[in-house]
Amino acid sequence: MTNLKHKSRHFSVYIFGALLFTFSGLIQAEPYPNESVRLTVGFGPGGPSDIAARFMQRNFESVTGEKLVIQNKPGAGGALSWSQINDDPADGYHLTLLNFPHINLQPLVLDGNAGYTIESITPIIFYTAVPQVLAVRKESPIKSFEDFTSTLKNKPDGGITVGGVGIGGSNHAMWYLFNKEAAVKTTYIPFSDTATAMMNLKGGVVDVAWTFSTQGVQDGEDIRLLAVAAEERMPIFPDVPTLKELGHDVVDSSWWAIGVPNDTPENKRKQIEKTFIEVLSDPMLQKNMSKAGYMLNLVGYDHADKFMHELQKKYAPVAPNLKSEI
Amino acid sequence: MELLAYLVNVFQASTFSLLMAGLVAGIVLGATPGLSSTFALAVMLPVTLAMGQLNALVFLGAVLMGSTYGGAFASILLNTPGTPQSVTTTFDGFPMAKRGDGDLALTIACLVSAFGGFAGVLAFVILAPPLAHIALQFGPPEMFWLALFGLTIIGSLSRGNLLKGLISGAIGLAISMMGIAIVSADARFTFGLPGLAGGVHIIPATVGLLCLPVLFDMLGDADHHLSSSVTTVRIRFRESLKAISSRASNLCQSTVAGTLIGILPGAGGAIASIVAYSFAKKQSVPKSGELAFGEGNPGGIIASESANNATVGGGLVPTLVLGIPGSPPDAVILAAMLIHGLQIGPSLFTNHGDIVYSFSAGMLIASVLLIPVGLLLGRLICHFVMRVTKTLLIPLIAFMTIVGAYSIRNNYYDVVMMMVIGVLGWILSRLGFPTAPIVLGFLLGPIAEQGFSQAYMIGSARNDVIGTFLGSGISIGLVTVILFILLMPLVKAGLISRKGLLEANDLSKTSGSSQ
Repeated sequence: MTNLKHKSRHFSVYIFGALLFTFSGLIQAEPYPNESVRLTVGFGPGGPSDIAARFMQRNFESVTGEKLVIQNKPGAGGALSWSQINDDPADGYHLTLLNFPHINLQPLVLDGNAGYTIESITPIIFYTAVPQVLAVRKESPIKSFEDFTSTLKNKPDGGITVGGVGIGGSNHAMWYLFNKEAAVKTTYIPFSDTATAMMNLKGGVVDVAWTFSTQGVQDGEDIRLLAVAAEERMPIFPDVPTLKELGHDVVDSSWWAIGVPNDTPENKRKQIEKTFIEVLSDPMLQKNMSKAGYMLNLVGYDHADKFMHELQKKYAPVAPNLKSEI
Repeated sequence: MELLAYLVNVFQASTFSLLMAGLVAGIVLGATPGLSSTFALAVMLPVTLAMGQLNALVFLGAVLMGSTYGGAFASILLNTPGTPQSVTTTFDGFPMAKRGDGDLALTIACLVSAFGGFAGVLAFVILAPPLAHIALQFGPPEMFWLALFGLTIIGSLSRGNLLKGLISGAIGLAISMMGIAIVSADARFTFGLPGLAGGVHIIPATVGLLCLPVLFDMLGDADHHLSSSVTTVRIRFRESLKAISSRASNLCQSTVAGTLIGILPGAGGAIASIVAYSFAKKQSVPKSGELAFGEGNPGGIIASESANNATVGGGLVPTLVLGIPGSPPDAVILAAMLIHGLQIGPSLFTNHGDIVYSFSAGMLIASVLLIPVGLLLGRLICHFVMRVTKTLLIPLIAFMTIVGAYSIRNNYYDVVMMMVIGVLGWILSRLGFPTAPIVLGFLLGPIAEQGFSQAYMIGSARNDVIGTFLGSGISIGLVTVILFILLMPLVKAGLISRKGLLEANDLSKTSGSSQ
């Protein structure tokens, strides 16, 4: 009797298992993507984030046969797009480009006005990073990092002006991290976007600026890079020393990742990761990206969430120090 | 003469047909109220992915040229500016259309747009490298004074009641403050709603303030939209040429103003047409039998339309030479160049000179072709608008404004904001508050605020705040012009009242002596 019961229970488990197997087989069999995939970018067309996304467009189509549609949803330094990320259908076809450390800093700096928290963000794959660089205009009397440090000694009370984008953004955080490590004082001047910051650097409005390696390519003839906050020298700038070489242990980059709504099923997340790894493995795409100043650094799905929280640990103590000077 | 050789590139069958397609698409999109040049370019950008470098750029250049001109249609025929650049075109264009001269106004707009566009691009080709450096002279203090100069125009925009005009300007400034502040990261006027954190975008604000009140008024008025006494639409080419040639100095100065303002980052076509319009208005001395500015003087259209098309060429200067997009449409052009693998910067002219000059040649041809294409489409659109009933026209435009407001940031918040601002604008205009100063305050507010804060921070760091604000010839020049504009009416009024006082004294004396 008990034996029979036992057997029947076994039987139902088998049936359940078989059903589960068939069902998961069906899910596995459904090809991804079988329609166009939308990628929301929280910045306007033409900026570094938009370009980071558009690099993948052509190859996405040749790999999958489907289109990768870029949708620009700019506003509030990207916060507008990230505050709406979980309103999207969790079907694997609605992706959002994530920027770090923006997403680490914004909810803290904006005192709850960002409209999202780090918990509402689900990264699938980190794929590219641009290291921060210290730049001066070509005609600047500051010709090298040594010139910069000696000028700092002459003007110790914040007389040196440092340009960057916005308050509480990645350039502002870099300014703080470097000043803290080097024990120096400078005045941070926020600009509305990278293009405006670069114009004011070239025009001599600010003495130096923290910006990204991509600007070193784009504005290469008008600006000089004094140092790069990367682990190693970048192949495209072999003559630019790292901060580490110069005796300052600061490594800082801005990262891009592909994100999805929180309730996206696990198998969809894996499919998205697999697709993008394939798209990004094209040597031509990698060459184009590194020529433009982007570093191809993959952090896959298994580590993405952990990596995001590591960044959070780094930037959470920085946020309270990023206050406006006005 | 290098340029002539590059003209040949453009006359290849594929390039030339793309140029025509871009021009037509640009005109139609620009003519639709709410759809901006930025929108037109952004929609067309993915289409260019399959094209070569030159074809993609020529195509987008033609879209930009066409859409900048296309804004004039809706401005003249409907009194709803198709694009922010053509706000000032409504001031004289619509009164002309109302009295049956819509066809004349359109032909004038077409001819001066082509002229402004051609001259702007020519200036780019000849002057690009030296002009690029003027842009670098404009730091935060200069931008602050420039914005302040722009705000003085509120005086000339608020016809009748200066106080109400100033209040409107202040409302515009307040709307521009919504969202996360660039210089302090404070959330202002967001009422705790994340959707307001991004502030109000220029498209929902302009469409809401300038299109919706017009639509509401059209609903409330039973008459046909334009006087039906006009039965034929002609081109009136000779008449237009005469009207333009008698205002040659207006045309030239507006084109120059448009080119120069196009070079300044952040200003763009909307500011250029406002500045050119108010300059032309100040200088105009209406001849006998001629209407004043704002009542249907062709001079208003000439100033506004030549200036906004001249910004197309001017805007290319910082975009291509410095990699600084002067206005949102230029940012899309910049994006297109980067996507097609062109490195932006002074080296662009040496490394990819063929592309740059072929692109410029394409833009020059596009501005010439604007005349036949524009005049033909102008007739068709004019016919359509005059024949169509309001029951069809209003829903059509209303629908397009919603598409336009949504498309710019792909965000439904913008649609809601456009409607709220539209209702607000309609109520305000009913109460006698003009809406144009609201738009002006809205556009110039962020430039003034950021310029002031940055200049103040830099000045504090250097221990020389006043020296930072007045440290350059451009700053001092702008301050002088601002003071002149602000004090002139007071001086004038003072002279008049003193004269009046003297006369009164004389009168009392004479009356006294007679006693």
